[in-house]
Amino acid sequence: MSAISAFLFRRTLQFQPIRQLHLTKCLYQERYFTKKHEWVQIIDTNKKQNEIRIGISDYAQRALGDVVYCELPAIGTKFKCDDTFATLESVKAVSDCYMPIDGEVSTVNDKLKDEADLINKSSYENGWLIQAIIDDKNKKNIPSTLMNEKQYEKFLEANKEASDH
Amino acid sequence: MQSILRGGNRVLISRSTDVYTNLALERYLAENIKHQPKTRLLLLWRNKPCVVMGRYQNPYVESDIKYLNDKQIDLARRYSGGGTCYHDFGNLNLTILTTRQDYNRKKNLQWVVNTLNKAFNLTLYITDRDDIFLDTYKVTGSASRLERLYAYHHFTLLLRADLNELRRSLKSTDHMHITSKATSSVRSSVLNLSDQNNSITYENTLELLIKTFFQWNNEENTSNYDYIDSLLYYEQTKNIENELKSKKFIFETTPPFVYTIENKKQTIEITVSNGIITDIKGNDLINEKKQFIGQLFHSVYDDIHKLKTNYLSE
Repeated sequence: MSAISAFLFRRTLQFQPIRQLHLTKCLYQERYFTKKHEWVQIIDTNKKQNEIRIGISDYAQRALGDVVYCELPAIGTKFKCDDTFATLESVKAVSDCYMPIDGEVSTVNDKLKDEADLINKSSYENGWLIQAIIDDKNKKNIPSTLMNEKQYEKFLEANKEASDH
Repeated sequence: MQSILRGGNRVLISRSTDVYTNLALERYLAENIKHQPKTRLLLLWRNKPCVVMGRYQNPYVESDIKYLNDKQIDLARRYSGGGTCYHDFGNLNLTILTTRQDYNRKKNLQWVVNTLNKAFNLTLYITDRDDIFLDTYKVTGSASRLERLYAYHHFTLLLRADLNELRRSLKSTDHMHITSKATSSVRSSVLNLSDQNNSITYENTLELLIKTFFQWNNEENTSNYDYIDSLLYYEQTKNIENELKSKKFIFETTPPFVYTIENKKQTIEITVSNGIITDIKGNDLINEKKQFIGQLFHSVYDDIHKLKTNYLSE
């Protein structure tokens, strides 16, 4: 590469990520993922509490197949990380969803009662499962205990090579 | 006692023919065995006559509850998904238990299909709903349960079941009255494998499946199977068994539904949630409202049945 084009290339690289990050921050908070394919998103509210939204990833919904039934917890239930907080039925298989973080259920997605397949159609938006209140300590630890989108994508890539048995 | 929980490629055969005991044993093994990656546990079991529905089904939609009571046919709800089936001694149940990563229904069914086709000269095939069919008849129904560390896929195999009893038991008298989001069974005509090849028996099928299971899993020792006497594990399984037997689990975990009775004069709608009647709508039902609201639907079912008969004959 010539000196000028190398310079321009470096400048482009400098700008791109910053621009993307700025846009992202304006529209929605970043999602963090677990190894069991749940996602967590901090909800921006004016309340003093830390509220998060939890759902399952696109990879998970595709692996499940069409969700026909969704069992959600009662509002107010307190869960610890890794506890089963919801159960889904799809293609004759019942599978559990695991809490990514300690929390207390504040809202459940009532739309899923009649339209359980929203989980498939819109796993990141309308197909969210529950919202929960978490404490400050857990909120601070999210970036270190869970994977961000890029890390999650790398994780999926790495696990694709699981050998056949 | 401890050796029952070791991992590896293994075959266990339950001596019990009680559906609640067998389902409890299945769950106990699933939750406590030290599952090793790339190995499978095969559990073989048979039940005396019973109807088994999937985790999120409605028993009134799937079977004739009155008939089951009269004939003392057990009704059970399992932990896995899927539809409702009828078991008797002519039906063999198979459960394949693995780590969650190794869960693969098609491979399990392929093993069975290959084995039976070869040994008994059949033309079984697997459908996209993970059922095994012979011609246009269903011979296997399957379902699964996936948890954090383990997964199991279990399925039935009709060898010499009483198909008339099967049809009668699974014939609901209420399904047209019920609306809900519960999982519905997808109905198919069924067939016994022995109808296609009369030499097929429970004993020779069992022997064959055990032998080929080990071959499939590259285990040289093809006689490494054990019988389980459920009484030996009663302490460990009794809580699970009690849950499975409880009216609470069988009836009250039914997804919310509305029971509707329609005649020329009015439409009566009974709303049930968590097994409890929470509302009744209709033109003039003051007495019924007092009688039914707050009651467990399954406890007052006979009265609801009478109500239905009365209103439908007006």
